Amino acid sequence: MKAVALRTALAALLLATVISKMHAPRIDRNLDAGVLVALALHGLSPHRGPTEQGSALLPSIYFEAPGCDGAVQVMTIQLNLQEGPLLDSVGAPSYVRRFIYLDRTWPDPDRLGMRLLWLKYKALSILGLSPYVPIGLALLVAQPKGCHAAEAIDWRPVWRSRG
Amino acid sequence: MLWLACVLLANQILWEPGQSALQVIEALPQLIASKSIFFYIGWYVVFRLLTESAPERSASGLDLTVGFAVCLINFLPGRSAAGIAVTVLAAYLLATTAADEKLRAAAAVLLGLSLNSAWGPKFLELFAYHLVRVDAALVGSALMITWPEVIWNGNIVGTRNGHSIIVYASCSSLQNISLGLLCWVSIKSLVRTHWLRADIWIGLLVCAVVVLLNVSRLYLTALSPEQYAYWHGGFGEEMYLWAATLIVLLISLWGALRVRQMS
Repeated sequence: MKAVALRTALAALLLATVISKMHAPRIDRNLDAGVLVALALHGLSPHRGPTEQGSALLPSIYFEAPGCDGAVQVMTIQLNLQEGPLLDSVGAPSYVRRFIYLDRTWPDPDRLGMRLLWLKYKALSILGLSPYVPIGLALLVAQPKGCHAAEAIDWRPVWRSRG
Repeated sequence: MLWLACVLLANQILWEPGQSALQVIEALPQLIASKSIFFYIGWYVVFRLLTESAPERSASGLDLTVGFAVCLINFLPGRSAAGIAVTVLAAYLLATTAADEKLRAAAAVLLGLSLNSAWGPKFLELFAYHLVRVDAALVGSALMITWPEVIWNGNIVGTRNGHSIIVYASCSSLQNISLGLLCWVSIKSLVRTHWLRADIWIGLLVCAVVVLLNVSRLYLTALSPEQYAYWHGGFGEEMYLWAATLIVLLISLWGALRVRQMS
């Protein structure tokens, strides 16, 4: 009798754990939807760039910002920055690049800093206390020299749960 | 224990977030096919060892507590939760079953499964750029020996004919090493439950062969767009996968049987 009850409990747990996995949020493969939302909140009109055949980088989103001498380019990148040297070629040669993840911005690639931030919010999300969905995707914003659009925009909505 | 193993196996296979039950059932063949053959060999060995282990031993209160705790870990968010649960079960078995060689061998295979499904991918995620640069360095060195002019910058390698490749984490040798080691531990545990010093050398041989095969394939993809298409997504990739699987399987079998004869 005890064995039957135990087996029934384990069978119920098997079903429950599998069902809980189905209800987990689906992770997007890029941050485009969130970027469009964040830019719309600032009254900016972004447009998607062309998909380059054979490119190892994801397609970018472009927008014009006041005080900027050219379009600002926003690209989804992997948190581990495995795109490596290719990231140096994003934007025009004179452009300044900024790396954005959750609530922080870096002028240079900082794998450790970004990963520590991910760890912090991952721990908080397990406890249900994170305001963000800490997925392994960050943003690279390339803007003309003297343009401060990347700093002026609140990028946090990109990682906020939209469920 | 068998029921617990069923919970863990189901959670490792049926990872399809944001889908309805019907969609998961539809995607079941795809989900099953997405796992390596070594994953299934590993689980087969676990089930077999658990079945063969001392049947008269009844579960203690601590066994039940840990068992339910292991099940509950699967409710945590993220793909790695099932792998972490497997690790906890393996650690518990290793700590509490000193007298039962079969259960200890099952624990070793469970560790191999968790290394492949949780810890390996996590390690790769954390140190991806540095790890892929090691692969790129091996490919770059091979290209420098065989080609007059070579492009090599971080994880980008190629020849001066305008074609180059970027080595991503998904192409890393580490991914294949964890699979190779899983195969080796599974086959060894199937043939014999005790460990010998020579097992380390067989494990290292598996790692070396896996790296050599992966670097050879990356080298070929870096030669030209035609070679890239053939060895990355084409028939060449299929051939490589089958050859690598067979070679790792043969080394593992050879190692397990040869060392058994010697001992």
